[in-house]
Order: sequence, then C-alpha cells, then structure tokens
Amino acid sequence: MARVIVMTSGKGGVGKTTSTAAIGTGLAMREKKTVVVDFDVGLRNLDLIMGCERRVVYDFVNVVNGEAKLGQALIRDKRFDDLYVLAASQTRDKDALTKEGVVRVIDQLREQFDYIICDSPAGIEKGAQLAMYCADEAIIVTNPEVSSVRDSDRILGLLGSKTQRAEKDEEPVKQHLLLTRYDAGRVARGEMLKVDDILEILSIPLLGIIPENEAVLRASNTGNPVILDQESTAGKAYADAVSRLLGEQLEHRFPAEPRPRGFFARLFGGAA
Amino acid sequence: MVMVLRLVDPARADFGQQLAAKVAQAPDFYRDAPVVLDLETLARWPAPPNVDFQALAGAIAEAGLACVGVQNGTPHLTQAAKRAGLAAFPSARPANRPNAAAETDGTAVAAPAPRAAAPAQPPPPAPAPAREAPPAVVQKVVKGKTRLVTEPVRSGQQIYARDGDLIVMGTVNAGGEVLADGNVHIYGALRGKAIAGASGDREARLFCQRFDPELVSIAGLFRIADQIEADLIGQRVGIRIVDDTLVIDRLS
Repeated sequence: MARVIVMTSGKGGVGKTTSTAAIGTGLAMREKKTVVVDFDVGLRNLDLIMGCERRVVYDFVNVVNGEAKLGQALIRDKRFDDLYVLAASQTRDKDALTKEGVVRVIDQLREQFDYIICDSPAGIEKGAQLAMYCADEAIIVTNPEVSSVRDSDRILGLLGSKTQRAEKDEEPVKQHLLLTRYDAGRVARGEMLKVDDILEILSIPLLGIIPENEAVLRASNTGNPVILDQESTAGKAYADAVSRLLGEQLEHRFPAEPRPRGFFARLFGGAA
Repeated sequence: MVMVLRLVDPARADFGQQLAAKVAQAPDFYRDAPVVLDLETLARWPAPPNVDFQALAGAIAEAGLACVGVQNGTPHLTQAAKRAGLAAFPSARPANRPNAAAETDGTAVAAPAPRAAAPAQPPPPAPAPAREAPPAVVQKVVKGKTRLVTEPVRSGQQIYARDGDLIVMGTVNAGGEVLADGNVHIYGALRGKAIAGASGDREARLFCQRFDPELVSIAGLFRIADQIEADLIGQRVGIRIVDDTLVIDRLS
C-alpha cells in the first residue's frame, strides 16, 4: 500500500524541502520505491536540493494539466534507482494546479510507488492545501521557536479539516513532528523552546530532532541530500527519522545534552 | 436565544445584502437564529411608514435567520406585522436603560447614510470593547446539549457550543478560540481565547486547569492577557461575574 506523506509547516524557511529531499532519499536507500513531488509551483527548489535541476523537461503542472504523461515528467535519481523527482514549474503559479488534477496524478503515483513525499509550499493557502489534500500522513516540520510552533499548530488544524481523509470522514491523517534546526546550546540558554514544551503544545508524536548543522547548507548547495553525509549529525538524525518512519523504535540521539564547552571551543566559538 | 434586529429604514433595497454580510462574519453563531424586529425607530417617525413585513421576513430567512416577531411598534405597525404572521412581543427595554437610544450600534459599520437595519449586537465571537449588557430577551439562554471536544483546539480553530456548555479535554492553543452560550470547562491549558455566556448569560462560568490565555470573557465582559495578574498564570482557575466585574479565582 502506497503511503502519501506531506511535508508541511505553515511557516517558510524551516526546512521542508531539505527534509523532503533527505527523507525521500533515505527511503530509497532502504529500497523503498519513492517519489518526491514539489508542490511549490513558481518557487521550485526541490530539484536543486536533489541535484537534478538540469534534467527537468516536463513538470508536475504539465502532468496535472494533461500536457505531458507522468512517465515523461518523472526524473530518475542518478544515485538510487528507487528514487524519482517530480519537479514543480518555475514559470507558473499555484493557480495552475487543480484539486481534480492533483488527485488524479497522486492516484497514478500510488500505483507505481511505495512512498510519495509531497513537499508543501509555505503558507496555508491553496498551494499548501493542495499539497496536503491527498495525504495519508503528515510530517510537520517545526523549528524550536514560537512563531514556527504556532504555524505548525495551525497546519495541524487544517489537516483535520481540509484533507481528503477529513472530507470522506476516514481515519485521520497520521501526524509526525520533525524538529529541525535544533541547537541544544541555545535551548540550554533559554533562547529556543525545549523539546518537551513543543511536544506539550503540539501533542503529536516526535519523528526526529535534526540538529542545526553546517552540513545542511553544504548539502543544499551541492545538490546532495544531507542524509548522504553520514558523517554529519544532521545526516545521522535524518537516517534515524527514516527508520522511525519505517516503524523502528529508536531512541532520540539528538539533541545530545549540551556539552560543557571547552576552553578552545569558547575561544574560537566553533560549533559544539 | 433571541436576537434583536433594529429596523431603521424599511425601504432600503440592500437590506438582505447587509444582513447576509453580517451573518457571514460568524455563520456558526447566527445559523437559524430567531430574530425579533425592533420597530422603535420607525415608531418615532412622524408618520410611521407602511412596511411589507412579509418581504422583510423573506429577506431575513434568505440570510439564514428566522424572523419570529416584532417589538416596540406602533399599534398600526404591530397590526401589519401580525397580518404577516409575525408575533408581537412586549417591549424588552427597561425604561431606565442608559443606552436606550441605541442607533449608535457599536458593531455595525458606521455608514453616514441611514442604515437599513443593524442587527442588535449579540456579543460577538471575538468580543470587542466592553459593552452594555445585551437586551433582556437575549439573556433567556436555552440550555442545550453539552459539547465535548477531545482533540486539542489548534491555532485558527473556533469551537462554539450553541445554547449549552463546552468541555475541552485537551488544550486550547494560542490562536484558538472556544465559545459557549453556557459554561466553558477546559481540562488542559488555555493559551488562546475562551468565552463563556457568549449570548449574554451573566451566570455562565469559565474553568481551566492551566491558565495562560490571550483573552477570557463572560457575557461581553473580558480581560486580555495584559490585564491578568502574573501570579494567576499557570494556575487552575474559575472565572465568574461578580458585580459587573470579571473575577478570576484560583482553585485549590
């Protein structure tokens, strides 16, 4: 049974696309046939992070509007045979998508893939609502700060009312919390919200905590999803999150308790 | 619960549109609500006009409300209303009401042109400034079924228990809003807005297990977060009206 998972947040810049690329790639590494779909029409980025921006011929909008066949628009990843990308259009806007069209394409994808990861645009308007409409599960990407938590709360409310499952009165969309850009040091200093506080407000299960890590930016710039960098803390944390998504019970390794910073670390201000 | 609609100019063509716009602001609150037409303003006209009550009732029904009767009319107007199948209600307005000249309806748009009709203010879902007690008729709250909410109330969600009490088992998060015509009980934290006695019941009370609200209100009296003593935050509290003031008690 295919699982359609929407990666959503309400707020922009929290790491939806990074997480879509990392988790999509992680699933393919575990030999799950996976497609990542960019719903951010007009501001397409997923293809960049996935490193396939030069191979986009047809995009999601073309398929939704019947201008291209699904097979023509699916881009196979060069690293993993089980991984595909469906890019967004850069020249159109969100109005180019229709609910009927999206449902039709997602249903087609369900026949071919184990996992369909939908990368939602920011906001709560049409684009975000279309991205979540077909979802069976949702990964709520949240930063440990109040505005992000509140926007996630808003999105959770929409998941309960604006999805196909809600409309058909089926079992509700399964929700996972993915905390990103988590900086244990700043949490300890009271500059960021604690994990427990966020869980208390949002009251959904925790899929993973991705530490703030310079490897993420490096990965984005080179078009290699950060999960491929298994030396990095972020890469390891995403691998753990993928395992949990596949049903494994794992302890949350991150955040490590903030280590007392040594003399040199304090002197040079390096990342702990 | 009965709402009072003050008729200012029966001949306005956009009566239905105005009313529909008002209803659209809080569809849940207004749905199928019974309405009494107040004719006091018309009765003070030098020559009270002829009013097509049947057409008015039709327009009100179209806006999703139900016109049940009239009040404060001249005998002539009241007769016409009765012929149109409407009931005549005794005046609900105590003689000594301070704001008896209530054409300055706070909630309606302050249009320079005479308004066709401005729904007499029901305490709105998100109360604006403290206001006069609602008209007497509005205080007759019919007790309905208690509404139970088992999921957290999230930012942007609004839950309204019409005619009855509301029980929220989880939290009401910042940006969320719970309202009841009766009492409100919250068994989690209250971080959003909570409004009891939403249609004017001053006996209504509000309870919560962890108090950290954006706003609390009973029957139009309200306090925002800034007006709440810091030592009450995080406590278990009960809130009620005593002598026209909102009193927040810590529950031990």
